[in-house]
Amino acid sequence: MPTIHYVILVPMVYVALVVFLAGTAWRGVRIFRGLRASLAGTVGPTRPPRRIGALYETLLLPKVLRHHPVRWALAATFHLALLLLVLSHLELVTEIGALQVVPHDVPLGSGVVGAIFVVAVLFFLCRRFHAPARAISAASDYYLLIVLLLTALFGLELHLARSLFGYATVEVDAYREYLSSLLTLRPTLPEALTLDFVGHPFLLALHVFFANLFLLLFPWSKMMHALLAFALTRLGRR
Amino acid sequence: MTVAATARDRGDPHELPTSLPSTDGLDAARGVLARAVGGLGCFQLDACLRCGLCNDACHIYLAEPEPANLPAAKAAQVTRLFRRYHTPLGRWLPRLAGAHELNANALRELGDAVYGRCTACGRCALACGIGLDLRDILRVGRQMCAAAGLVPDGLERTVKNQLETGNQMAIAREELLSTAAWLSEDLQAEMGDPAARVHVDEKGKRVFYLVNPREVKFFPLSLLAAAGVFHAAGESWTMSSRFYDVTNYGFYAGDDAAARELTRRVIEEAVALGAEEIVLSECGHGYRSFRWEGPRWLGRAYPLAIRSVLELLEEYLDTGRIRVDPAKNPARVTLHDPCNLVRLGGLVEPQRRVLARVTQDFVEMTPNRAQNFCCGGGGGMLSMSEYGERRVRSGRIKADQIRATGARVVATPCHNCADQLLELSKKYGLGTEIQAVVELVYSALVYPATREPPGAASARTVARLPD
Repeated sequence: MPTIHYVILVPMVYVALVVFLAGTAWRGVRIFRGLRASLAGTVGPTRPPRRIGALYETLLLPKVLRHHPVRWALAATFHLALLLLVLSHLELVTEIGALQVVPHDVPLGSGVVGAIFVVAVLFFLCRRFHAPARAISAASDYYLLIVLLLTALFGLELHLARSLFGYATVEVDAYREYLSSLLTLRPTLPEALTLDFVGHPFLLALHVFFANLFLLLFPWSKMMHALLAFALTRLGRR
Repeated sequence: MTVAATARDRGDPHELPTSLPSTDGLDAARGVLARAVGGLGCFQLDACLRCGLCNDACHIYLAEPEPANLPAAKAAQVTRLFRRYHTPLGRWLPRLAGAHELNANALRELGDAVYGRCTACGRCALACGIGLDLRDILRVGRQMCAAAGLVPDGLERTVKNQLETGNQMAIAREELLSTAAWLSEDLQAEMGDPAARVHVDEKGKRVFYLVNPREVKFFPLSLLAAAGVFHAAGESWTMSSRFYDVTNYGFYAGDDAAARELTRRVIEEAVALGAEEIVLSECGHGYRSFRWEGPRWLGRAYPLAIRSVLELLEEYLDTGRIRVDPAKNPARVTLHDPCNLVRLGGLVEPQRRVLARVTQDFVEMTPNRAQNFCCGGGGGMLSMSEYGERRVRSGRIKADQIRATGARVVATPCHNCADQLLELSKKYGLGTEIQAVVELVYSALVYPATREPPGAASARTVARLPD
């Protein structure tokens, strides 16, 4: 097994997860400490929304829906597809019983969700190359979307290649075994995932590599806007 | 494209501030940024997603759709500096993070963005999907420029005037007293009542009235109108001849120390005269700064009540202390909502209820209330001559709003806005008169001893304007 293949599928996954979890927690603590300080100094006529109200505004973006319904629909599609994709990966871990209740294909949506997600990411990326968004875009706006796009594209190809072109050297059980072993801290790589290091195993390595990269960047990037949005909404417009 | 490049492309080399900060100035700006990181909890400074949802909310961008006028581009002038010194990626890989060194040119571009391209009207915050108020970020930018000594000359001079003389126009005390005297004579003649007058420095009065010094210098009939309404209502009121200025240019400049000092003087003067309540004349940022920011600057609640004259006018009408006849204001009237009073001050309905009762044909602009567009004169723009042309160009959105109403009179409870609206009326051929709400109330007043309602007030107001 080439070392690089192993590094990507095992140690890099752990490093990425640790950076993701620790970084997100660290940023989260800073954000909420800042929120507490800012709330104490709030002045103005508008009463900031309470936690439930802020959660509602964060998750459903009613202001965006009111002013830009098309943009709202695109953002909702993007986020909903992302949520389903995360769930479809978690359901590969058999230990998470809550996701195994209803019998269904793996992953959720049989590739359609992944395709929708890729289209949504492509839209957001293409937008960045056109005025006026281009004028306000920073380098990080591009590379984050590109990393996300590549992760999704290779992930989508894993599924489509298997289901559409009979590229079925890897079955779902191999993924289940791999992910469960990672979760129980006894990492093993089933033979099907490393066979010849070409074709499906190669695509898998690329998919995991870009996913790792995304997790490594997440806490230091504007991907933290989920927490930021809640904190900012709690502050309210003053 | 950088702001500097934009200015050059338009053959407008004077639009960037010409002075450069000293090394001490740069250090002071860095210090402000570092303190803001603590003060704003740092998360706000780099929270903008650059999604562009706020683009269409900005009147400056709508009037001149160039990259430097995008709200996110203006905020980026601050956030790129924040990222360079306060984020891991910005420290290690500044280019990748979109971070920028805080140097003289960066500060000049920052100054142009925060003073010359933003009126801090807060409309962009209404459109932000994640609830970010870009004013917070741009205010840090103004504070950095103020610390570095890069406040535009006109604005800095105005702050200095206020600190040194007690009012932004450096009006001498004798001039105020003289104006009060002849206004009193006019008022007595108009109301046919020798008791009617402008009260100055009288102790033990219930209301301590603050005015915009423009009322004393250029719009005395606005002060006359207020005095007339107070007299008709039987109000016990006075002004101070020392500290009567409702404006606070320290607030605009981002100079909190100056803003605090200006607030402190007024509050102490009101207490010294034994007033029970401070009533603020029609002024957008004066209301925002006295009503909301002042207690924070001073670190304590005021020892007396404070409210806008608009609320007092409504109370007079509700309680029958004054009687009005809307037929005396037959022309179509629309209302401009000053950003600091309405969107950022929360005073939305009293002026509407008052206008509905004192005019015959009151129509709203579209959009209105919190969604209303800035006139272009906010944020201290009127005192910064270097941005004068840009200010008038940005007012095109407001001019279009006014034209669509078909109104002959624009009422605005803000003298800064009134100045800008008068200029827009001339520049865009609107043919509208601009009046304060209290002037319209005075015009509609039914006072037993009135000889002739002062209906010609608006024409005279315009006639007295300086060119």
